[in-house]
Amino acid sequence: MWRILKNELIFLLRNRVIKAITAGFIILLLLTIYLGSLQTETQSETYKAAKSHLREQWESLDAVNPHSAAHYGTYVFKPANLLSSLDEGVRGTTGNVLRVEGHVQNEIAHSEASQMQFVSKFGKLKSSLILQFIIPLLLIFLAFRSISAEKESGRLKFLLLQGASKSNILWAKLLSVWLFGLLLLFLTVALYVLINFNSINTDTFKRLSLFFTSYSVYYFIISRLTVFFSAIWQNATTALTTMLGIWILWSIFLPNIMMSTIEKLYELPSRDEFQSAMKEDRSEGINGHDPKDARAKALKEKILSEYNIDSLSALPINFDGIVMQADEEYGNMVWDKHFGAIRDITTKQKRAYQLAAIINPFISLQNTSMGFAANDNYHHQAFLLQAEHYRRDLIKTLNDEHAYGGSKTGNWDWQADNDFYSSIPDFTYRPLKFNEVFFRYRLDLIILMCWVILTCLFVTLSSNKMKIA
Amino acid sequence: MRSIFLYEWNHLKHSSFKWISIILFLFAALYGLHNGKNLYEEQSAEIERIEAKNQQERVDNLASFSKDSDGGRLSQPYLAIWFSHIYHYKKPSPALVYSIGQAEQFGYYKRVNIRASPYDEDMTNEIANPERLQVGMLDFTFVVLFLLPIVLLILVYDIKSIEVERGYLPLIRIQVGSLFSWILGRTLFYYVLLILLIIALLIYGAVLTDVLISDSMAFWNMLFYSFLYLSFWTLLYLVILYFGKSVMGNTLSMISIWIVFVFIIPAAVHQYIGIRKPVNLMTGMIDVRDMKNDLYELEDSILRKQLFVLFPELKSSVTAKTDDQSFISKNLDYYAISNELMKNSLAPIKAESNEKNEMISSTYWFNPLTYFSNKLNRISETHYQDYEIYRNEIQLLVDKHIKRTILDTWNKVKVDQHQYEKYTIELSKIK
Amino acid sequence: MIQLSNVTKQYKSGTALKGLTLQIDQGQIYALLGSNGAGKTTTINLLLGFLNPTSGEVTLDGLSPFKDRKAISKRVAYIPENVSLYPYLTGVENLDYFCSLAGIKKSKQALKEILTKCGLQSGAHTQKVAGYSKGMRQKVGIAIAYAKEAKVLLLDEPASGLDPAASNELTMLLKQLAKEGATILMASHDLFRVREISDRIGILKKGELVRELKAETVSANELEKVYLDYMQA
Repeated sequence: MWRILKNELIFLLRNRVIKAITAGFIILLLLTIYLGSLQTETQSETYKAAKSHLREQWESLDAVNPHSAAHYGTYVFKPANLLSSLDEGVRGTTGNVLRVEGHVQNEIAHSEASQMQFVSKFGKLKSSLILQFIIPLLLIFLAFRSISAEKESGRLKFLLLQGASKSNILWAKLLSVWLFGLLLLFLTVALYVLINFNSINTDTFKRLSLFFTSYSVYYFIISRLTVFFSAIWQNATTALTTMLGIWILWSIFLPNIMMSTIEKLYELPSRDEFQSAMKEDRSEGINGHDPKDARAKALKEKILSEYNIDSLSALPINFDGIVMQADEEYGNMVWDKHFGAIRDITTKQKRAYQLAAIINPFISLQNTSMGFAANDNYHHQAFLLQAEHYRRDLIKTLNDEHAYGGSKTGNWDWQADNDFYSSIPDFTYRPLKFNEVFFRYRLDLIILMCWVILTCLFVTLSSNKMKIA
Repeated sequence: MRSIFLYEWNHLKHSSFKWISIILFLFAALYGLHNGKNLYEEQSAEIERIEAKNQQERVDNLASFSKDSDGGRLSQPYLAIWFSHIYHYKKPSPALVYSIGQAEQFGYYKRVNIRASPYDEDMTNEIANPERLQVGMLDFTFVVLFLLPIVLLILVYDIKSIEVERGYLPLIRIQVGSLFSWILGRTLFYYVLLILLIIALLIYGAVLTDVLISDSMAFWNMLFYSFLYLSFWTLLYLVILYFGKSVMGNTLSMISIWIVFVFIIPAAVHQYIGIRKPVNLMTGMIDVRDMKNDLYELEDSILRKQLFVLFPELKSSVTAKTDDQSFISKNLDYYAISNELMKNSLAPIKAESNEKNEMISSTYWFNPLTYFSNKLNRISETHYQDYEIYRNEIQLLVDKHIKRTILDTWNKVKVDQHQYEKYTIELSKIK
Repeated sequence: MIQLSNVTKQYKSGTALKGLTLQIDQGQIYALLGSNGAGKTTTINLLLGFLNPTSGEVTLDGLSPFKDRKAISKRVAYIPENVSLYPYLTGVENLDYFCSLAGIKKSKQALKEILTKCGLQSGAHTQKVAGYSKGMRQKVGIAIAYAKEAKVLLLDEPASGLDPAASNELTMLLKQLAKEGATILMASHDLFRVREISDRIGILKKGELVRELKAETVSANELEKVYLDYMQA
């Protein structure tokens, strides 16, 4: 088999057209990495500038009442992600600016897509675009004649008579095409590593390894299927058209249809419904039996009895801060319930989509690619959750200062000084750990492996069915 | 030509592969049209639901006037206008059935009040799974722009080259006289076939949302641009077929051109813009909050002076003629001036978006996909520009709310049922 | 030795061979004549082991080509009408590649010597096969058989499309191989060449062996007459 493989590689190396195409693709891939890195860098600078600008504003807060500071709030920006130059995932469609303030959880707004007219359906020229859509097509073009050309020319009989087995021929053809895909993939990842060498840590490296693995497996499936059709169909054109059909179905048609269908199966509420329900729960109580007024009254009684006094004016602390924090915490519960419900629905959607890979392995590739590149919905949700926790900590600090900082109930003119505000830490996004991501995408990797087994069976079948004469 | 068409029809009749492609194309187009129709209905229903809720709120408010002899809390213009529950909607065009465009990137309903801005957080897109948004929804435009060239490719890829490969092209050359008109005739057959399919699909879509009744221009424009787009691809393929010599070579060339136009060029332009103009993190708009805070620090008289500059007609108001202006809340001055500050801060942001749009438009001459996408989005009123108009309308309404609130407050208007109703009508209209 | 005993091959579309019985001894050249579809290529494919007979028995040196594929592949060489080689490899590289598949390792010099022996001029040895004429490719095909020291040589229309000089060279080469002990079966339309090269000639018609002749007993004209009589009958 190795001798046949070597011969196939010689073919790839000596063919001028293939050499030209390879060179073209290498340049294109290197360009995507370079441009991607450049864009990440530009975005990162914009992010850093905006973040430090907002922090500066926060730290320059004059002595004000903590509740005024809670209304003043701050903004959290979605940080640039190093791996975006490989796969930008959902980044173009999600918001980037999140207002953090008291009383309310705002929605993240100002997505890139909303800042200009339509440009491209398949996003920017990232490596993932080339690696997901175009390289598989190239592999199809390299493989569709692999067996049929041997059959049509009569060389297949020659090869078999010289002692090569059918399965060896099929394997060698497959491996040569696959190795070609791997070479392009490897160059892409290697250049990425080279450009970002100083910023790559173990976690990124693990992500890159799995990024590489899922593409490798997908290329294997594509190469294998093409060789299979090349072996069983009588002519090369049929093998090519079959694979082109599969390519269009897998990478363009089905992802679209499946996602839309799944979204209809697990429907999300409209924003107005979502907000109305939150408002209702916050004022009337989550279960409808605990209205805001009653909650405030109970809290007042509890505090009075705790301090063993009968009037708020005798309270050594500021009751307003306690009420606001209690309301905040209730609001958090309401948000957790409703936002959690949305997260549950999107998780169900994702799970269904992951399972749809049983009929379309491209979905697994797409999922793992953006997942390991830290640009999927899971990472986006994690960012939103971290931002919300930051909001909670910030508002609690402010309410606590209002309550226990030295003011009395009703004293809205009391002010905390600038040192206090400067001492509150800024928001820092903690990227998800590799293990958490791996856990989410196990299913996709398993399905991809199932596809490998399935296509291997195809090849065994094709070597048996392959007619020589 | 008739004989060529008949020959081609016979040829097509026996090609199951080509039929499968046509059926898949039709299925995708119908699916896309229904997606568009669903979104149109969803948005219309949501608008209706919200408006019904608002209507109920307004009815309740009107009833409160008769309960309270002095009109209660709503007798003041500020509160009456605040509780007028006016929303401004971007009602979906029936042509949404054809092109969903950027409809999923923006909000389409917005409560208007004196503190609102068209760039508020609630102006962001509807709650959706971002991964679904990223994959995009399969609409009719997608089918036309992305799949139509592929179907055309499948239908015409072997014209002439298969005869070359089988060695009977010289025979055909002698028989038909002009090889070019023979190729042209055969290609035209498929062109006409696809045009008929598109017309049928467009009519089907028109029936779904009554486009022909409510917006017939959209229908004709859609038809025109679809023809133009199909003609563009037919011409490209015709050149390849005329000069190409092998089925494989032609298929490879056509697919390569498709990839370049559909994937590479738009993606490269997108990437270029991403580098030249990174996502705007809206710090310019955020900075307004510090300016607003500074307003509070200003002396009341200075603030009021600024208000008079904004609304010179205040000079002739009832209150201006008396000395006592203390009953007028400083908040009103603050909101009015803040609104101006906000508008000023948004100007460069809008300008930047326009620059991005111009950059994109300047690539149209070599980027047909983006050109046609935006043209079709414009027809279905789902283009960035349509949402920009919507935002401008919101701003106009906010301005109107502020102006009415201030003028009526200064003129000591006492709101009654009639006035309240007048507000709800007047302040929901842009003109 | 090649032996076919009462061999029938049935396809879905019809019967290709009907009870063919044939024996070719070592060192003999046997030519099969017949029109298109007579069953010549089917006979060769049965001997190559690419087809299994519907009934009857096919043996090569006592082995079944279909069942003992490995053992057979060491003894048999095949030269089709059009020897298709890898155009991006040189003559020597092609020979080396096909030899290595058969587990034969030879030095470059030895390979060149074989090519020369098979009539390929030394200047062509290191040229890419893409530039070879049909005759040159046939020579490399024979070189592959030679290098393999094949005991049995199966040829399917080997001289078709060759110019007279190349055709003559091929005849000489085959005779030389037979002299060295190879058993050769050749399917052909070329009556003149067949009479010249072979020891025995069989005429196939619709899958049946209708006549067998000794080449030395007939002239080219007589052979043509016999052949045409059978075809028209």
